[in-house]
Amino acid sequence: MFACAVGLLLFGCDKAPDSAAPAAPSSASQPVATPEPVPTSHETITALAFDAGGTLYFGDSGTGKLHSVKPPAKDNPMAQAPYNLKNLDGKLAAALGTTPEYVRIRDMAVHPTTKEAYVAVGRATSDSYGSAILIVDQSGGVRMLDLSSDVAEVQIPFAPADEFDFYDEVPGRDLTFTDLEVYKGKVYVAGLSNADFASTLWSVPSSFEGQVQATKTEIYHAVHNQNETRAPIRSMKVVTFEGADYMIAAYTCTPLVAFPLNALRDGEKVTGKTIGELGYGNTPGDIVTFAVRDMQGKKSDVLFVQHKNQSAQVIGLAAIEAAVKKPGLSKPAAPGETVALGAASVPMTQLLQVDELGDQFLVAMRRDVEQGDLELVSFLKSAYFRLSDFQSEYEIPGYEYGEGQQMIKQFQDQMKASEGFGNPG
Amino acid sequence: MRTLSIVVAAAGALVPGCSLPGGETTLHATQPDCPSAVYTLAADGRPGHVRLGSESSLRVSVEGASVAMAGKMQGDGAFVPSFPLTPGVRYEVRGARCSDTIEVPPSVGEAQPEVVAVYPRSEALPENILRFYVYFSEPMAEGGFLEHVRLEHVGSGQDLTGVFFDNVHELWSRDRRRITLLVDPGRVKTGLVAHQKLGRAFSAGETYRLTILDTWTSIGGRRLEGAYTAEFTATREDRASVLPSSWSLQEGRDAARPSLAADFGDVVDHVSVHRLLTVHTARGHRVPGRWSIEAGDTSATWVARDEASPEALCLGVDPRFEDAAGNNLEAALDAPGQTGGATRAQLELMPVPRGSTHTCTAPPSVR
Repeated sequence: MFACAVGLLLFGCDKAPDSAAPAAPSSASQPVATPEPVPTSHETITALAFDAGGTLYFGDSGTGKLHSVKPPAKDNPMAQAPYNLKNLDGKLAAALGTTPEYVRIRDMAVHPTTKEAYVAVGRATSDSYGSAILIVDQSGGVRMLDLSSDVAEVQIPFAPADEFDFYDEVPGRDLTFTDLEVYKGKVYVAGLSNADFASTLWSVPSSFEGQVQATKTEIYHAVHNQNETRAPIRSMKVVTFEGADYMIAAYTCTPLVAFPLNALRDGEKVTGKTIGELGYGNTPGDIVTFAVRDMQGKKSDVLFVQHKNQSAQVIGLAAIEAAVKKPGLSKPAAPGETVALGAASVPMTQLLQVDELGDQFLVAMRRDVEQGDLELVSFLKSAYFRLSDFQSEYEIPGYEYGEGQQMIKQFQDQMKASEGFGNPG
Repeated sequence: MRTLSIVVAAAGALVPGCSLPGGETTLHATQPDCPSAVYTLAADGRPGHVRLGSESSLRVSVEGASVAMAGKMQGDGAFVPSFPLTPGVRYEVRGARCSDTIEVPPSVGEAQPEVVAVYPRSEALPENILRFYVYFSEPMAEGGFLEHVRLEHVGSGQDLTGVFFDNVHELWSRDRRRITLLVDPGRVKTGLVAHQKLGRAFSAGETYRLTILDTWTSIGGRRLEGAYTAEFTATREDRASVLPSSWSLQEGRDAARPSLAADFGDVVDHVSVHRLLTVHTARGHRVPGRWSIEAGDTSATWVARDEASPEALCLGVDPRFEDAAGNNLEAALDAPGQTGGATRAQLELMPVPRGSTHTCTAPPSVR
């Protein structure tokens, strides 16, 4: 059964009900007209973000445009369920009509209500990569978001204004969108032009009506012991301390920097406050903020940072607030030295993408360490690991939980259930 | 058992069979009372369409996949996939009554990709070289670029590939034929902790070999025809800002068009030459033309696009113009306290040839 969703490209489903159906060719040998191509106006979608109302914003690094689209309403009966999908690359590739080696994954964002994962992908064709956004649900269903209509756009201005080509029309510049953040009616866009390698933070009215502001960023990177203007923000998140909003931004190699949002001015350069160094030789990925409770039930807010080259880290927002109120780092740090913030490494590795999945879970796209397969799996917040990743003492046949271990057993049963093994209790 | 039937297309018939109007080629039907599935690939590489006789509703999927491929059914019974079918992959086509399997033959005739050039092309590069550009003859596959690059010290064989900046978003040109390899700034600039701890990437007087391995594939999955190797010897560091006033500027030799020749006296960033050097009349009007960079990347010639009478020319240099070490007009990349970004907005204008006395007026856009 292949459902037809209005506004979505169809996966071999029945004809759209309103389509006029002329007599179909009676055999394969009849000449046929070349059909209209499916619009593929989006070149390289590299960044995705939802607002709370379910509007999806996406940046096209090929065209330098920011887009918005409201995906059609979709009931997901498994919205509250965790993800336990294996062989995700095969599923994504199949939806694109090809095999995994022809697919590049660029970003992921979870819809705020349906909890479906929207995945920006590049799909190789004969001479380029087409771009698409695939929607994955907890059952393993994959469909493509229709970007052929009702997509708004705004051009992100980046210097220099004069376009140029060289060597047989090879474009000499490009803009890389590295991250998007939607906050209080604005879309914040981080990126880098490979023409001048100037790190820039744009702010765009979420309605796309009004001025796009561009602010160059400068930071002090303690491991490099230098001020840097070229390295782009790789990931960012807005946090609020005592009514003041700050963009917390992570850079390659991995300084963590705070920019007061009210300091962003069009055409000017803003110098961020470096509040920590999270590890050298690393590229940070997604940043997520959420609340957790400890074993005593005490609630606290944390900032979670996914990394490419090291374990993910969790930092208390209280530590970040304290650092924001103090002078920033100004002395060099040695490679390998993490500085300030009390960041705790958690056993989440091989991660490509991470986002929040409701109150209970994070959802992560990761590579299986042994097989290399792509997975989309959930992690309980505050646990930061999957029980089914391990063969521990508890799992040895014959293991008996003692009287004092009932809380552990209960927690493990909950984890097993969320990971698709057994029922709680 | 269903067997392979159909295929392909106008762009070049790849399988034998009867030629059909519209440029299709078919093999044979294999299921009694059912037609063969047909895939037509548009001549320009667009997705084309899939048909299965008179079936008006089709599900097309990679063979064995539980997920169907994205596409749209048209009213005339054609299924238009969102992307072209991939050569060498088998697909299941299911209609309400019949089903079939199609396979797009592996690509034939597609050129094997090769490395066209690696810039800078000089055999002597400053030890604080900032980046390399690799040009390919075909659009190349993305992902894991450092797996296909090797940088080593000639003599010791020490692997230095780690000096390249592992950029998640690989710096490809839009046509996928050029990738920029950045040397980690921490291994270029002096005084940096990473540099002190790990050592500068290159040392003056030593020779290095940059190899582009033949494991790199085109988008179509074809490997490079062969590995490409470039050797260079590191020279002492270049920590001086770019000084256009030291350049030699001569009139060019093109008889029909305005032209000029520039000798930079240094290995320059070839992208900067094409992008940030402009030629103007003395009154400030931009003259369109094209730069050609001489081997070694230390000199270049410019020829106007259009034939024109000789006229006094001026060379405009954008302050962001860089040499191979990333120094620009504003500052040396390595200069203590500098942030590496030029902030000057004005073009530096110089009469051509050097020594001419005509006055260069700034173009309207920068006045």
